[in-house]
Order: sequence, then C-alpha cells, then structure tokens
Amino acid sequence: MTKDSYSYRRKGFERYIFTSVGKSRIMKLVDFSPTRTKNLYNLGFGDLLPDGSLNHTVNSNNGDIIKVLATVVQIVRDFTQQFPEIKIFFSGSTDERTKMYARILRMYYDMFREEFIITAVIKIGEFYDEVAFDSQSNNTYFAFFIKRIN
Amino acid sequence: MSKTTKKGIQKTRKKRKNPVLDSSNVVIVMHTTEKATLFPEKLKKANEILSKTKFLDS
Repeated sequence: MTKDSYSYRRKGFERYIFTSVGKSRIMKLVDFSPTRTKNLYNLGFGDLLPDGSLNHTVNSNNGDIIKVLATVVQIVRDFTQQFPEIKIFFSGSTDERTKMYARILRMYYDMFREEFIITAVIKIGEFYDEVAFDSQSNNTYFAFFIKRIN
Repeated sequence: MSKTTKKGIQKTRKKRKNPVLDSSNVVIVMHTTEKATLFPEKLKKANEILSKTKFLDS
C-alpha cells in the first residue's frame, strides 16, 4: 500500500492531482474540504473527465485500483503531516465503494494504526455513532475518520 | 425644544428612513463550508451525516 503509488502534485493547500496510468490515462483529484465541524475535513476523490467535469461515482476500471488507493493514502499522509490537528472524514460514493474502503482498512489496519487513529460511523436508527474501527468485525460502516497520531 | 434642534432630529430620522443601498457597500460573508469545493455533493452528504453523529470525544 505504501511502496507502489503515483507521484502527485499539490494545488493549493487542500487539493492534489495525479494521473492513473492503466488501460488509459485518467487524471484523479483529491480535495479536502472543511465541514461544518471544526477541524473536520471531508475527503473528496474523483476523476477529471475529458470534458473538464468531475465525477466521483464513475468506476474507471483502469486496472490499477491498489496503486490509486495507495496514492490517496500517501496524499492523506502528506496533508495530515502538515495539518495534524485536522481529522479527515470519508465515505464511498456508493455502498459498495464504502465496503471496499472498509476491506482495505481491515487489510492494512496494522500499518495504518501506527500513524493514525481510525474510527468509523455506524447507523443507529436515524442517527449515527462514531465508534472505534474494529478490523476483526464485519460491522457495516457508513463512513470513516482518520486522524494523525501526534 | 428649539426650532433648530427639531429640524436636526427630523433630518436624522429622514436619513434612517431612506438608507442608501448599492452594490458598493454590500459585504457578502461566506461560511467556510460554502467555499468552492470540487465535490459539493460529497460535502453535503458528509455534513448531513456529521450533523446526526455522536462523536467519541463529545
């Protein structure tokens, strides 16, 4: 997850860009946006399409998903190294994608927890609870938080 | 109350009643969450979830 990733460029303090090179070349954007909660930023991630628009739901099937996600992890590292007080919120654009993020967090949890506190969101009725991320459970998580260990 | 003072009061009231508004003195204050984001739908969804979330440190 850390060794093979794409190089990226930073645009401003909250935006990163890199190119996925698989079956085709696809520009990817990662954007950190402040939420209404202090020091809590939302991680947005998607493709820059040929017409200049952005799509965060498209499944590009470029054959390099692990390398793309490894790059996003590197970007999260970079951003949180500069702003360690900021907590990152992220969820998939679809349930399937959120499940995929949960699988990756479970798979690499031992490595991630050396650098980050990882928590997750579960739904209880109409509301949500932040809970400790359990890599051994099959809980259905709706979203995740990542915060650098200072 | 002297005539001069009364006129002064009337002048002040008239000013308040007819404030001058044009685009040059309008200040727009934006909340930080309304800043340009590349993924407004994702941010909206995030804020919806967060507004209903009980945090571990709360």
